[in-house]
Amino acid sequence: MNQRYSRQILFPPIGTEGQKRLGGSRVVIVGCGALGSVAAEQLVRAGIGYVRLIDRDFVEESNLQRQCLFTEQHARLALPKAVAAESVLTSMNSRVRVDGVVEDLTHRNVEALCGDCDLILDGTDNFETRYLLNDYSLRTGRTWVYGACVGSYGTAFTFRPRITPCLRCLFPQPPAPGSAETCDTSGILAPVVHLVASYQAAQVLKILVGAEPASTMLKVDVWENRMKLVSLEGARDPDCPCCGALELRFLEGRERRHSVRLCGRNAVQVQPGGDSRMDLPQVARRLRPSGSVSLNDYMMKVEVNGYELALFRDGRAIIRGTEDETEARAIYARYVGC
Amino acid sequence: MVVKICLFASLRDVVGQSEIVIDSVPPGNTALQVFHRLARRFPGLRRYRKALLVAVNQEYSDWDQEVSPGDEIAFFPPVSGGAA
Repeated sequence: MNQRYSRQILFPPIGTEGQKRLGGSRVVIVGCGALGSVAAEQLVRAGIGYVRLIDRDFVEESNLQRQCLFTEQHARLALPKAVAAESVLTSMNSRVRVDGVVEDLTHRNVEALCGDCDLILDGTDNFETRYLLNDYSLRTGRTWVYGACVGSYGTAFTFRPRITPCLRCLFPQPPAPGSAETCDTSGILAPVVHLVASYQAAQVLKILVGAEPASTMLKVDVWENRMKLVSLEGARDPDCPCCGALELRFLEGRERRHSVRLCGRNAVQVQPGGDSRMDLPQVARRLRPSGSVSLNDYMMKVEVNGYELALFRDGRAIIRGTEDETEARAIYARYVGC
Repeated sequence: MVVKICLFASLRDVVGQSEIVIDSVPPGNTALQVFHRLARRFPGLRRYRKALLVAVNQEYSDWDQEVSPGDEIAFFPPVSGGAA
């Protein structure tokens, strides 16, 4: 018996046959922050044949408290997360082909980056990308395993096209920018990340060996000692424009947040799609612990982490300190949220 | 009648506790009416209303579902963090 996976093969629902299936499988992990790195480690150690990691961000010191693949050296070098993760994961299991991709997942590259994989694990930090994954899943029949955390709270669900409700059945609209907590404003505990990502990784293993994934939505709070499994039977909306009428607006690029480089100003303007009027005083209160905030009737400014983010009531932001649109959109997602 | 309400994530922060028991809910009240009753006490909840999921006794529920005595009604906000 192959010693490397012997303990997993001894587990009857996997066995030799299941291990073979894992070895012949391809998984894409979108986002390699905390959830993505925990899940990636487990899937690579489990011997999935091919794992692709997509991430648009680089390693910072504040990641190290929870993002289990990264080291102080990675943060000092500000290495892209996908690059650092690929190297660490390959040293954990050289038999797995690990491919780190430093890119922002968009409607333009989603087919190229996900089309050759069996399923998608969500490690993203924003709803825009999740709605894109939801659309892509409905278009191609691929399952995607959602996970999200903030503070001590986390949630996960396996979205299976035409079997379960889709993300839009549950949340017809993305939360208005600024209305949802993000890890950069409300904090995050490593234990809940590991719990949620492990749960996601378990669903992936189950699907790949042909077992039935959980049909319930996990809701857990490790600080409040609460865990609930919510049945989503009956949550599939027959009038859902997305899984019903297949109006895949995110996949068609019609909901994409617009961003533009402001030449010569070391700044990028990020413009959210749709109606995004926001309550600036409320956003300012939320951001105060993160950086120096100033506010007037028209805009709010926050200086944080070497960036200056100026946020307007229509949801538009000008982010100084970068000329990279992808980086600016990441900063927007982190501090304003979406 | 008496119902128990469970609050997750930011909703818990608004209310200051993760569970709260409400008595004096009129029979026949819907999940939405229970939410509004709670939001009168905690107006900070109002802005979340349109984005919430509601579950009654751990099953996904419509807002117009009538609640029964002793029901557990849970409200979940969308969570976007991937712990980036």
